[in-house]
Amino acid sequence: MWQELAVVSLWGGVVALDTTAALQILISRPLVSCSVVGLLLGGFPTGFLVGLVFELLYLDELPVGGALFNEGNVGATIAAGLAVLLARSTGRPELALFLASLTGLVMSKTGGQIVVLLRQLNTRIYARLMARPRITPGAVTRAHLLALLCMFAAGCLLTLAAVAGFGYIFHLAAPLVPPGLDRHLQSILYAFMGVGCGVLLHHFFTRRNWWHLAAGAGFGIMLWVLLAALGGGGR
Amino acid sequence: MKSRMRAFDLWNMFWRCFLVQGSWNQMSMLGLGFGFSAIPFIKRIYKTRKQRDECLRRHLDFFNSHPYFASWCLGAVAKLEEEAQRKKWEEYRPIEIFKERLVGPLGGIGDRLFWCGLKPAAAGLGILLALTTGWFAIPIFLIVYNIPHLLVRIHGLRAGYRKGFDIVSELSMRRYQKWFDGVDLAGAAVAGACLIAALRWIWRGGAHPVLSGYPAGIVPLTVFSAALLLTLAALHFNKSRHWTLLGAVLLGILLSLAWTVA
Repeated sequence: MWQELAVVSLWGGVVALDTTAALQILISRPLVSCSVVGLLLGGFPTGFLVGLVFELLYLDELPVGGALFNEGNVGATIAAGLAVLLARSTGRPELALFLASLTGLVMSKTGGQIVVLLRQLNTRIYARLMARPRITPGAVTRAHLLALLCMFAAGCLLTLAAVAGFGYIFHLAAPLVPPGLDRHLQSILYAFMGVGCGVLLHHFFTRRNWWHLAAGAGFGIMLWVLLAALGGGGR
Repeated sequence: MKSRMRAFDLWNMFWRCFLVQGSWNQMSMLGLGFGFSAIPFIKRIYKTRKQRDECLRRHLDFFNSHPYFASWCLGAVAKLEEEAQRKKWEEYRPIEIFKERLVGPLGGIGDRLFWCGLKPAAAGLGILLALTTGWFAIPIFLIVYNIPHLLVRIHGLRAGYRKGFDIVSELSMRRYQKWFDGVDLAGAAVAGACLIAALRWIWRGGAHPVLSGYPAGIVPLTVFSAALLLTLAALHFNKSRHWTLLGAVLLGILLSLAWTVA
């Protein structure tokens, strides 16, 4: 259990780095990061599903300059870890998905605030560097790598604290939720997808390109018919 | 005259560009990251500690751009610093002004092309494929996004180092307009296809490998449609998507309970 938590936490650190600080090759996007969490914890379908819905939800989140944004990538990673671990420990995947998704939303907000704090810390690191009587390449490298290390550590700690803490609380609280309610809690999945598709359509819809959207929808219908003719096509 | 810079220095600067935003701060924004990325050419061009100190201070000052486009400025600045050293410029103010002037175009083009265009479009394509083909979507999403991303970084560093001041000729918004339009149109088409794919996925009970207890069909589809319409209305009136989502979840649970009772 602790090994799994450690691995997911380290991955949370990588996700935090890739979001804004380093690489930015989009391995931090929910579709990728949650699937990796699923693979690490032995619940790939659950991780993939969580990644799918969070990817839609935070599709147009812009980490531009000093903007305050929702740290949806770390939030989704936490949600995926919680969903897999809770589904395993409680045996109730619907409840696990519901609780994990809500936690992911809250952690996205929290993560955004932590990024603000880290940027304030970076300002102090920068001010200390500039106050030195002589600046050397080594001092610049150390200051920059320290900032990167802080971001990585924050991602790791946030993921560890959220997955371990909420995982424990939800594991204790799960018996209080009547099992009959589980199938209704699944609605969160379809609500997430509806909101996500709304975000996607809103982002790309303009008066000028509405017909491309319609053409895409037409293509989607053709794809539906084609997959039906081929016998379903898989998920 | 032969350049002092080696191919290794350019590679060293290239990989450092991937970390350029690592120390983003309110005082210099990308300044510290830019200084970190500039170390290879500073070490190559300047040999005394005093010269290095002065050059580092110049490049640790305020700088901002889209992270992928920072390499454009870095390449050009390396070229200019080399020229300044070779031709013994009396002052370095032209390089500082040049950097300041690049901030707007580098940020504007990068944000418009990548953050507002290619990233959501590639994510939409990833979701479309995830809903129809499964895990296969993940590598496709990463490849579709990262090929242009890496090309921009590599081309920027090389072109910047080749052209110096003249790199500005490659940085007009008008020059990129057709790319902006193309990505937007592709994104719209992907969004339309994605909507139909999501409807199909929900109708057929796509979540069944993970969640087994829900009937595919009318209830999930109603929740999905209600959430979609609520979101479009909320975004139109600039309301938070989180509150919209919580409202849609609550509505979904109530709808589901009502359907069961009925």
